Amino acid sequence: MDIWIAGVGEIPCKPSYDGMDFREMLYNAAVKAYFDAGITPADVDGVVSSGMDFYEGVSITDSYTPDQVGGRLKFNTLVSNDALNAFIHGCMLLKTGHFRTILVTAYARASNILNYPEIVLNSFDPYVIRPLTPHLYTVAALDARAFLINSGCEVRDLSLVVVKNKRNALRNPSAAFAENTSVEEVESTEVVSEPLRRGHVAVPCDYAAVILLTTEKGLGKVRVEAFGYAVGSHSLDFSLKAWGQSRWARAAIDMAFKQTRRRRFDFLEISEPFAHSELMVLDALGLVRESVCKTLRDGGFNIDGHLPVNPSGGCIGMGYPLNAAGLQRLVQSVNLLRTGRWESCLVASPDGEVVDGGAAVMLSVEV
Amino acid sequence: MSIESFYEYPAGVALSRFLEGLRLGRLIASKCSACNHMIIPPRAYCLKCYRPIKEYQIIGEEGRIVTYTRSLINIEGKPANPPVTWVFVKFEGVDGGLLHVLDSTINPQIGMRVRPVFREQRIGSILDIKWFTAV
Repeated sequence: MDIWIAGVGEIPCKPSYDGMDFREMLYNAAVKAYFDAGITPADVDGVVSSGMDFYEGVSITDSYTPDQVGGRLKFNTLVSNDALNAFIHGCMLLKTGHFRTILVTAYARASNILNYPEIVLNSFDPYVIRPLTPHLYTVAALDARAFLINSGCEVRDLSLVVVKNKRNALRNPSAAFAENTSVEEVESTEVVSEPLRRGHVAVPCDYAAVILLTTEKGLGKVRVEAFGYAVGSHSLDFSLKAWGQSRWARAAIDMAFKQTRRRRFDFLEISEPFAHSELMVLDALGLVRESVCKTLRDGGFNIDGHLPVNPSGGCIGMGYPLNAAGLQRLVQSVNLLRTGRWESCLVASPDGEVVDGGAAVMLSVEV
Repeated sequence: MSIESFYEYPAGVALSRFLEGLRLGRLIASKCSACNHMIIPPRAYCLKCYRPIKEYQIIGEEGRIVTYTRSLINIEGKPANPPVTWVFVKFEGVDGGLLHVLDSTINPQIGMRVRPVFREQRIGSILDIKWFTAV
């Protein structure tokens, strides 16, 4: 059974949507998705909401979602971690044959969170990690250091990722942090935890996105060719963490490869809460012949390179919408595929800034 | 509006052994009696063969730095004054490892041999380790 994306809707990333609550943000994204798909809420059979109660601080997300996305009294479920998991959940629901059209939602109200590092700290082991009170940038920096040592990359390579993504974002009207910057400017920002500088960190943002999935080929704009996920390897005390590696990405793409013969992609969209996150995922995916750092330095990942990475601007250029990052990547991918410039792409998103888990989705426009 | 939430988590059988070990100034790992897999912090079940753990062992204190960072911010995002050096340490023959801070006088390197320095007053907490220092 083939799965199609019938329509997408989003509201642009912003540091803060002052005066608008998350239900109103989702409503605006849903209206755009319905318009894009050419269907109405009456055509939707169920809703899958991506949500992290830790981030939202309100309640269980699926209790708050159906009304504003046209899902009242429809099948409704919540999937935690990154929104790619909710998207994949929607695909699997369609594959059961019990549904024809599924709506997937995700949003971030990062501006609501007044003590984000402490919120993230509370997701770590309460006995072995929390008493030490590491900032999430500290944990990320441990990953960055291990990656740089193991890969032979340099700190300058992290800055190259930032320059690439911020420049790509200049073409994206949904991006909040687009900038024609330089390596020197990135490296003039303060060190937060060596080797990471402030400029290597994607800034959290407010955002909402809705995607309509369908089994009806006539409604399809972009085909969901394959998907994979890797969960369950993360240890909350970091004891099993493979520092400097994104092993989840390899596992997720291996699962997806079993569903398709495609091994090459026209571009990649990778959620990168930190500059090194993008390189770690690329390293794990193994899609380039030469080292990730050499390919980066040679411009291979630029928008006009042989494998563009984050042509949308990524999370560094657009803003990091927490667990909605996966849906943010998907919406950008659909929009980019529909420009006619590219025919296929791979989307990958980790389940958080420092989590050994994540998912991958392959899209194509070969209708 | 502010709502305070209070939770009390039981540490569980395996982690209680670990915390009691810290109180006594020792590092405790679990050992699977079936496949001999050892891990720190200890688990109540084997991650390799899924059998229940019945054995806990004191391990050698000497470990090696797997990765490190010097952090210039604290948990509130404010400047850490002085900066704090963080390390992840693995121990010979034992899976897993520990995140902790390093003696600020030590210049860290990956692979450097380190050992924990325990506080004189210990209560059964990860904070019973004051820091790791060079061997």
